[in-house]
Amino acid sequence: MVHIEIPDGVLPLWLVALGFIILAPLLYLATKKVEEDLDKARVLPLMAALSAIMLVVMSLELGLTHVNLSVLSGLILGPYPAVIAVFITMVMLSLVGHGGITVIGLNTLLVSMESMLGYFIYKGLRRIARPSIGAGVATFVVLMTSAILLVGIGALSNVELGLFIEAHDETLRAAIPLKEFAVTVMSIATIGAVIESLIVGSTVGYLATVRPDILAGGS
Amino acid sequence: MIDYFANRKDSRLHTASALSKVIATLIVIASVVMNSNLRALIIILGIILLTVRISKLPLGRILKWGIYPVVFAAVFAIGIFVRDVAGLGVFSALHTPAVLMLRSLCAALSLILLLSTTPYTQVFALSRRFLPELIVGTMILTYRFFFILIDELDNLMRVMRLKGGGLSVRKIIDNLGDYGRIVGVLLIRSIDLSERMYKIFLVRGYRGVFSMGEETRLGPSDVYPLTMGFLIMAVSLKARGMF
Repeated sequence: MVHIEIPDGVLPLWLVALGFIILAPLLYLATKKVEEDLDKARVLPLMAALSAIMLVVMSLELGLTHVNLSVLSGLILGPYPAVIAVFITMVMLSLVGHGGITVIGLNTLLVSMESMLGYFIYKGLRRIARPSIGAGVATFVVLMTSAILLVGIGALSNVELGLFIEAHDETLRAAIPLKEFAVTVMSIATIGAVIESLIVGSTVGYLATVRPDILAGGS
Repeated sequence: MIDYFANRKDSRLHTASALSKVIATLIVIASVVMNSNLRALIIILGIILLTVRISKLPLGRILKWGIYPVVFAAVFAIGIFVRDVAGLGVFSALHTPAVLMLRSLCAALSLILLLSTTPYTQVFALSRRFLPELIVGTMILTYRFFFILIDELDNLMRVMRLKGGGLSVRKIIDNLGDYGRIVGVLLIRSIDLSERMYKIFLVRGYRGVFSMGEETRLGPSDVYPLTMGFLIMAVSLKARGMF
C-alpha cells in the first residue's frame, strides 16, 4: 500500500480539503451500493474483519516497507465494500498518528483506488493466469500506479516533496526537487510493490487451494 | 490502556459529553494546522498539557503516545533543517522544523486526550451524525476485531518461530512465502470470525443499527473542553493578527 504518512499541519489546506470533497460522493456511492446490492448483516462484519486485517498486518516487520493488503481486500470484498473498509482503516490509522487526521481523504482515495483497480485487473487476469500469478501481477501494477499518483500529489502540493517518501531512511526524507522525489518514490515503491506482490500472490495461492470461496470478490 | 483511562469517571473532562470533546478536538486541530507562530504553538501545547493534568491522566504516558507521530514529523524536520542551516543559520533554520513538530505533537495530543477521556463507543456513536450507520457499525466491529486478530497474528508468528521459521529481516526474501501463508491463515480466521458475527446478528435480529446507548447531552461539565478549545482558538487567531 502506498499512502501518505504526513502528520497534520504539513500539507496545504486546499489539497486536504479537495481529498475530502472527492471522497464524500465516493463514500456515499459505496455505501448505497453495499446497502442495495449486498446482505448488510453479512457484509458488515466482513468489511470490519478486512479493515482489522489491514491494520494488523502492518505490524509485520519487512524492513523498509510494510504491507497493507489493499488489493487483497478488493479481491475478497469487491470494489465498493473495499472503499468502506479502506476508509475505516485510514480513520483508525490517523487516530494512532500514522498519517494525520487531515489526510484521511487523500489516503482513502489513494488506497481505495488500489483496491478497486486491483479487483478489476485480477478479474481480467483470472481468465489467463493462475490465481496466485493474477493476484501478484495485479498487486504490482496497482501499487506502481498508486506510487505515480503519489508523485502527482507531491507535484500538486507546495510542501517539501521529501516529506512524502515512506522510507525509514532519514536521508531519503530530506527536502528534494520533483525529479529526484519521483525517482526516490518510484524506487522505494518498486521494492515495496515486489514484496507485497509476492506476499499477496502467495496468500491468494494458499486461499485458492484451501478456501477458494473467499476469493469470490464481493459476491 | 486508553480504554481503561477513557472509562474512568474521575475528572470533569471525563464526565463531559463526547460532543463537546469532539468539537474541542476539532477546534484544536484546526487552530494548530493553520498556525505557523512558534510562540502560539508553545502556548497551545501548554494549554493541552494543563488539560491532561486536570483530567488526572498520567502526563508522561500521554506524552509518550503523543510523540509517535512527532517521530514522523521529526524526520521531515531534520531534512528541512539540514537544507536551511547553511543559508539561514542555526537559529532561523530551526523555526520551520520546530513549527512542524509542534503542530503534529499538539494535534496528536488533542486526539489522545479525546480518546483517553471518552469511551470509543461514544466517539463512534457521535460519528452517526455525519456518517452512514453501515460505516459506524463497521468501525465499531473493526475496533473489536483488531485486538482479537493482533493476538492471532502474535500466536501465528510465535508458532512459526518455534517451528524454525526464520522471520528475520535478513531472510525476508526466503520467507515471503511463509508471510503469505501466515496472512492466509489470518484471513481465514478473520473471515470465520465475521461469519460467526453474522450468525450472532441473525440470532439477535440485527436490523442494520448497533445499539450504543443514549448520546450524552451537553451539560455543566462541557464548559471544560469547550473552554480549552476556544482558548486555543483565541491564541491561534491572536497569533494570526485576527484580533
